[in-house]
Amino acid sequence: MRDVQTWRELGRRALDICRSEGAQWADIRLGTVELEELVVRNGEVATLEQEEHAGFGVRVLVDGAHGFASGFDVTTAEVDRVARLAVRIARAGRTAGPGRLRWADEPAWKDVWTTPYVTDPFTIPLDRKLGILMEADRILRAKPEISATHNSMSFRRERQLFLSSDGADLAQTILRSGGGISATAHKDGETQTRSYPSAFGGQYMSLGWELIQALDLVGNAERTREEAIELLSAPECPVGDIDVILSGDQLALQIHESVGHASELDRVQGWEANFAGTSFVDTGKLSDRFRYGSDIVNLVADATVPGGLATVGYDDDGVRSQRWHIVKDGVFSGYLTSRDVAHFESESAPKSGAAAVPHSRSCSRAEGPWNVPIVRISNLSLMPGAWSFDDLVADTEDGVYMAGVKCWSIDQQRLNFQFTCEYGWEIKNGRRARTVKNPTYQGITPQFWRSCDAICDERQWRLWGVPNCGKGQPMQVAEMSHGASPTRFRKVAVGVRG
Amino acid sequence: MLDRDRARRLAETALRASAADETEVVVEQTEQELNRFTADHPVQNLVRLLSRVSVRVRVDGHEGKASTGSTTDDAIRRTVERATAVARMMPRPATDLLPMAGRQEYTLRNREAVAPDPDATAKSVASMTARARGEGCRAAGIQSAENELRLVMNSRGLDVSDLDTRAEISFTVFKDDGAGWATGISHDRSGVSEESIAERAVTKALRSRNAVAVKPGHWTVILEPPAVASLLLFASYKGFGAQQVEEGSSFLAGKIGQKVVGDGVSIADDCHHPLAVGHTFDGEGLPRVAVPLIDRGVATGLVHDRATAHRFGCRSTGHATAQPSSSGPIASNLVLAAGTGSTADLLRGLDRGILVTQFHYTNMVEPTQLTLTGMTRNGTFLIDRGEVANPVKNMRFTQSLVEALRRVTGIAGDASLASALFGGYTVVPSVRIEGFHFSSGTEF
Repeated sequence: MRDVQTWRELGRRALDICRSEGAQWADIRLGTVELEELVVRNGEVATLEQEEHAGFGVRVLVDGAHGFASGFDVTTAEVDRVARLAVRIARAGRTAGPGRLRWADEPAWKDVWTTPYVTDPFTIPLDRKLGILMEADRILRAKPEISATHNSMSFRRERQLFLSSDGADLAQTILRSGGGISATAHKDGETQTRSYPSAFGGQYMSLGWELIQALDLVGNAERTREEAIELLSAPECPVGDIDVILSGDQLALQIHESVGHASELDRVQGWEANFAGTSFVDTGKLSDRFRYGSDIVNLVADATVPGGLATVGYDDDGVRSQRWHIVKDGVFSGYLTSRDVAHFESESAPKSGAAAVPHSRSCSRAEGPWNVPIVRISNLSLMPGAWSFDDLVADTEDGVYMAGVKCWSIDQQRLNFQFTCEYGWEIKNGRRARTVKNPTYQGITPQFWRSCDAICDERQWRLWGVPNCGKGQPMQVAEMSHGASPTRFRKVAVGVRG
Repeated sequence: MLDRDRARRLAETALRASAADETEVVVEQTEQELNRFTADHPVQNLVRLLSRVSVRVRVDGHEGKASTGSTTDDAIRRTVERATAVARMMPRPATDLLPMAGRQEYTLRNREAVAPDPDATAKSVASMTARARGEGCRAAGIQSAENELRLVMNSRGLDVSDLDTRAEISFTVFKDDGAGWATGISHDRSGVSEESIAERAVTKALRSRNAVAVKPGHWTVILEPPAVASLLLFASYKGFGAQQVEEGSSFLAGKIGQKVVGDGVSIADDCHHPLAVGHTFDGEGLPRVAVPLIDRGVATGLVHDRATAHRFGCRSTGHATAQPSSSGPIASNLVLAAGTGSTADLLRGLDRGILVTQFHYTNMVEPTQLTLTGMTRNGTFLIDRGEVANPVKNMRFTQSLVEALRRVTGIAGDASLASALFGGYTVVPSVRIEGFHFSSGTEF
């Protein structure tokens, strides 16, 4: 990190300016983001692009008012200007309302942290990466029913220095890799898509090239193609209230939408109300030990889990990464928090058992140093149960297995959701029956999680990456992972039609 | 703080540094002020500056691209080198590669920048939140001003740039179980009125208390402009582009010249509409021209970039996204032709129906009929004998947009610029639709 010492000098200068201008709190993040994107589509290289961005952002609190300014010219003059601007913005905002922001005290850490990985993906030659994508594409297009293909890899490395006015000094390097393939089949007016290992760009993890090797995109291309073609002649998903077994990748999105966003404490407090919405999980549900799911439902947030997209040493408030329960034995147990909302959780302490002194759960992250940190979902996982997948199917009399994210939607309080998957099959008397297309299910969040009665074991549990989570105004994209194994839910509304 | 001369110097530095057969440089710089607030105080208050310089080169028919957020000469030169190295890594020359566009002569629209003014914004926010607090309401919202400079130059003589500007207020108000929302979007600050927006949001919140559940099913609906925008957004992404028609995934595949929706529906893509925002040239530097897409129910056209135009044997309409593009051309300035009269006129003669303020989290279930699902939000009301009656609890719709547009029975004259959760800017009026399918309800 050749730039870090330069950044440190500029950063300390900015913090001095902020303090001299009257800020009670100031932090600065300086950094770079490297990105490499490869897309092979219909036999052609559609995207082969490298990006490198640099910038910085200064955040201050002045008399309980927030100010943030960012720039892309990492020079002394620009850092000085932006630092003063951040303070000016905060002073202006102080007049916009009677209230004050609060800021939880946390240790001022000094550390260096790097994502653990085996092979730096940026050192792998582009022709080797393209060779894998072109070969997978060739296999996908080997039958005439396939009308479109999309095969991709993506690699991202962020280097960042965080300095704060209380002395924190955190240098982090965060690496992630991703890749996937998909085939769209078209015949007689019917169009169906199947993806591997998951939809919308595939699997993403905080790992190096070893992730791409483990995915074996070429080895899974033929099955992906055949499943896309199979869907063209498959019947529609049945309609009714029946049992559903969700694959790990679909369950990951279910966790994300109906637990992750619902437990963001800034949403609960209405800070996101004008955009993505609020949450039904008001703070009374923490103190009243709200029954979120069945007894076997344990949902754990963990910013330390190896491979997780939200796994970092410290969040963008400078708080050390943590692991804690959001739902424990079916009971709602904690929120996703940052330093500016932590006190809302501690105020529920008398009945909930949360710490009386506000402490952040380390969920504050920004999309690059040029954006303001906000509460983001951490890695959030459903802990594995005891079932083998074969036993779970054998135990299901009348149900549908659903896999592969196709469409998702949920109301602004995170209650009514509806998801459509890429691929499904009926289960009749404990056996796999016919394949069905457009498998769709709909439910209300707590009722749905309370109907969970069987979770597959750790052999089928894995982290699934969500690389495209949008939140905030201006909207920022964040990445996180959700661990899940195939899981059964009883009597779910299935087969919603337009 | 955006500087067109500096952007031009960055592009010229890149062009000078390139030894490729063809080189294109795109400079995009954004300055945004945004105050995000609750009724009590701002929760985020910021000014951010963003920059991207993208270099696309061609070497012996091989194409490569690299981008940088840095603005030093060294960074620009490194970006050219990386783009060239990427091009040399391509396994084979790209097929059907058209020469880059040459010099273009057309009128560019350059709007006056909306300069950041945190003090004025704070004053405006204070007036809106005071209005909400005065009624004992909770609130959340944003007020923003944004300038985006875009410049495209290439080694064949193309040299275009313009400044797109936006001022926006979006304000959500809660009172007990009621919620109301109002917004204003314009290319300058004078086009949005905080007093009017606050009044509409507060009034709707007060009126939407004590909502009752109604049975989902097929209803006549009156959709206010933002609700219409969140549906049309998917036709923008997945319907009107020539590439989607080629691939058979568009509802217009094989239907050009045919009646596809109701007689009253005319849709165009027109970035020159007085209410529209956006750049006046596309990702290839060609002028965006107005394209009639549906004329009184008949499919009349598609939007093209240079590649699809070449394959279709026509001219580009100037709807290319950033190149190279796997998504093809996009109709990003949809205009649904307004009718006459007001929303009240749409209510007249309607015995029973639902008035929808806004849809939330609309997403696509199926592309060929544009089957969409989403939730109502922030003000959903029963219509009873031509009058807006009591509020109703929110519902989920699952509905083909194509089918819905076949059942349009009224379009108001109140066109406005509207956006949706997943973005986009569309000029749309309120619309009445028969038999709109609500598939389930929720608890609030």
